[in-house]
Amino acid sequence: MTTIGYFSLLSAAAISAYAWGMSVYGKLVNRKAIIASAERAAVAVGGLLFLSSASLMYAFLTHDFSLEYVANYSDRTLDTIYLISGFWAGNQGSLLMWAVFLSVFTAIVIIQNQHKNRDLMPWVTAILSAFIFFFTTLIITMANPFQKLAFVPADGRGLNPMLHNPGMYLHPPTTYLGYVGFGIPFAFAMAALITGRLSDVWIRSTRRWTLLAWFFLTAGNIVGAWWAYYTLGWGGYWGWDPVENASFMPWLIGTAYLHSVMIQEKKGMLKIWNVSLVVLTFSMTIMGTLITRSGIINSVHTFSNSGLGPYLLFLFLATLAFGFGLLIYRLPLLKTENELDSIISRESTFLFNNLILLGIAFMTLWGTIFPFISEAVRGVKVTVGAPFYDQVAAPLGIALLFLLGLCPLIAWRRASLDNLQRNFLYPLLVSFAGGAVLVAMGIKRPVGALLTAVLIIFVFMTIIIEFYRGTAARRRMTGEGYLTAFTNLIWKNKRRYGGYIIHIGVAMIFLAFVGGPFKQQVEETLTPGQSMNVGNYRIVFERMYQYPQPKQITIAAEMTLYNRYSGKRVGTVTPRKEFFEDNGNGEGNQPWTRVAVRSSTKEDVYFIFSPDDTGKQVAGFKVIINPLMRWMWIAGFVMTFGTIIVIWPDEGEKKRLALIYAREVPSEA
Amino acid sequence: MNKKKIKLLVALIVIIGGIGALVYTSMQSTVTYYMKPSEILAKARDDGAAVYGERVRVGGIVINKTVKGNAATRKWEFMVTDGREDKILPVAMVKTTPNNRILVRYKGIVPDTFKEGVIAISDGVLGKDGVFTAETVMAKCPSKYEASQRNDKEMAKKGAADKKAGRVAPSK
Repeated sequence: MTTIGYFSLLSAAAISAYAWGMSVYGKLVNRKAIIASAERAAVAVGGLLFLSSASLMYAFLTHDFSLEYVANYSDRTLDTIYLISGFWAGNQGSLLMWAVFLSVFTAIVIIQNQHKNRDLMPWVTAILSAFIFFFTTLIITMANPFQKLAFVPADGRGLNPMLHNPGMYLHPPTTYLGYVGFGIPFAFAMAALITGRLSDVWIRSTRRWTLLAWFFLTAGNIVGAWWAYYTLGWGGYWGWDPVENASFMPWLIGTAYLHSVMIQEKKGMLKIWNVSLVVLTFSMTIMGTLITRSGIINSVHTFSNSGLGPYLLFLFLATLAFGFGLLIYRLPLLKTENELDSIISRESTFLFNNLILLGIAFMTLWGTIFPFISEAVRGVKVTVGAPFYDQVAAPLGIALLFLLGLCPLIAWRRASLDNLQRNFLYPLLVSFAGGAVLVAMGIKRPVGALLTAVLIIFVFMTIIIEFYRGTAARRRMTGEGYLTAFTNLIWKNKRRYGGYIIHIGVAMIFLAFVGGPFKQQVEETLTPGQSMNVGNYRIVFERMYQYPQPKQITIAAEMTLYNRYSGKRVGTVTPRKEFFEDNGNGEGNQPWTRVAVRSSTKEDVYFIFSPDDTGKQVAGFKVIINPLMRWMWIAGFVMTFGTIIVIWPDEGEKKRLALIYAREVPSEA
Repeated sequence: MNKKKIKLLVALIVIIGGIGALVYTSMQSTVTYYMKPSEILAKARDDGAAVYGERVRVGGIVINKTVKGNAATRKWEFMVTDGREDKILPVAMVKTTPNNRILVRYKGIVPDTFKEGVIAISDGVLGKDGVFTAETVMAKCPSKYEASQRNDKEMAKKGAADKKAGRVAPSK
């Protein structure tokens, strides 16, 4: 079975090279038959890599420990879902996942465009096939998941206990789908540059792919933060670790791209900028892959020093060079159709939004590589931690939040004083009133948090006003009831109102940020019966007990929470610590702390349990209060919901696009 | 250049310049040294004022048999010594010198991965008495490459044992 896996992998590499070469050749000699053959080949590659992946998956599910990879990342006690996740637990499998996702997306793109974009498609196929060829060859030569062991062990080494968590099967595939998805608009942008067909057709054709990639990357990042929060057990959700940053930068640049292409669609501006952004976004996803697996930058969770570094670095630099090289070559054709009319306009808010998003991406990059630069250039080893990132991100985030509030209501081209007053006076007044209320409640410092809270109100206000005005206008026109008008408003303008829903989600993320400075934490050592005070709570350590489970012993603590002032009972939690049997991999009896969290929209109470390991009835506790933490996860749902609305097919849009395609794309010779 | 372009250019310069200045000043005020025990001791000798009382990060291997502490009382003491990040071997005290080892004191809950032989990364302050008081401690497993080399040896041993005991399934 695994021979099938390996040979389909080999075939995929060879055939992707064919698809790459023949697409280019067929386009240069203008032979449709050759191009069609190349396309069929590329689709076949998708099928082959799918087969290869299915074979690896089968190996995991059937406990085929003759494969080194399966033996290293699974054992006979694993639940099915974790057997499946073993696929991407290591270097080899996760690279295969990159390749199969990319090749399946490529196949879909080719099938989607059978009768469209015929001038662009050969180049799209060529470029995507080139990347697939690179990855499959890398896998075959340096990271083969089908590597066999000289003998077959009776049982595998199992999956690291840290990974026995929903985050393990949600986060990596989602994030990878996001990374790989940006390859599609990248390939189309390059094809547009090569062919000189620089109207918006390439953007419109890839709009949903871009949104899909963004959807997955957003979800992947938030799930990753959620996983860190609940599983890693240090009380936080983001450590500015290089691997986290590697996932954040493409998201920032991708978000900037997503917004600025709207300006190109509406006003024919920012053409050069948009191509640059899509090149940067996709290159940063490759850099992400590089950082995670090359050991160049040290992180608490890099995969390994696997020797892949130089090759991925080459791919990253080659992608940048190819993208920007083509851009410079086509510079004369990328003339803007319109100029910026005024600094105070909707166009300019998009421009400033881009600058700030890129600013945050730049500072993240700088902080991530600075230790590397410092050591290489000055020989001084330094570390850049959360304080740096927080200090820079805070003012930039506030500026971004302000733009978020301005954007829905500010006029195109030039916002007159009258327009500004009419649209923003009321929201600003309400926001400042809200701020005054907060100050009166004693919430004055840090100033950044107060300002953020005020701006969150501002954003909510402007978006609510937009929904209200739209619904009212619809009612006037159609006589529909409020609810019908509201729903139809959204459904008939999915891009706009779906976008506003996403923005509400973003405001909720900032709400979670506001809670950060007000975090409280207390550490104490207690014996059963004793209690500790944290925030508004009195927490009683009731008892400590242990129980065995397959391959582990768990020690648990029962804690009861009471309101410190009223004495009212709030609830109970059971934080635990698990001790695993030595599984023969030289790691010994590694413990695993399982935090307990009591969560509400107001705050999270987070428990870390550190029992005495000599059997005495005494334990250390760390209790953290994270105000407003839950809004981060609520935001995740709101943003994904909003994105689904934006992506959803729209009949009106389809009709409009059909007209545009008919006008712009020349008929095939 | 017309007035509008000038306004735009000024706005861009202000924003980009502002971001640059923000990055620069934040880096200056937050960047911390990341040193091995030998490096921080050497620096303390050469330039004491720069080190004593300043927040630094020290990364080193936890020396065997030097961990004193209790998970319940959360009082920990251990010694760390220089190590290469890519090659971790458990280190015995005798293989170190007073110039490349320091005593770390930490009050708090240690990470699950912490134990002798791992890389402990401590943020804190070196006192004039030579003791490093840590505010946070992180522990890092040996790099997976190293681990997998060791594991291959373990697996080979296990495989030989399995084979001997007749537990091995025939290779496909």
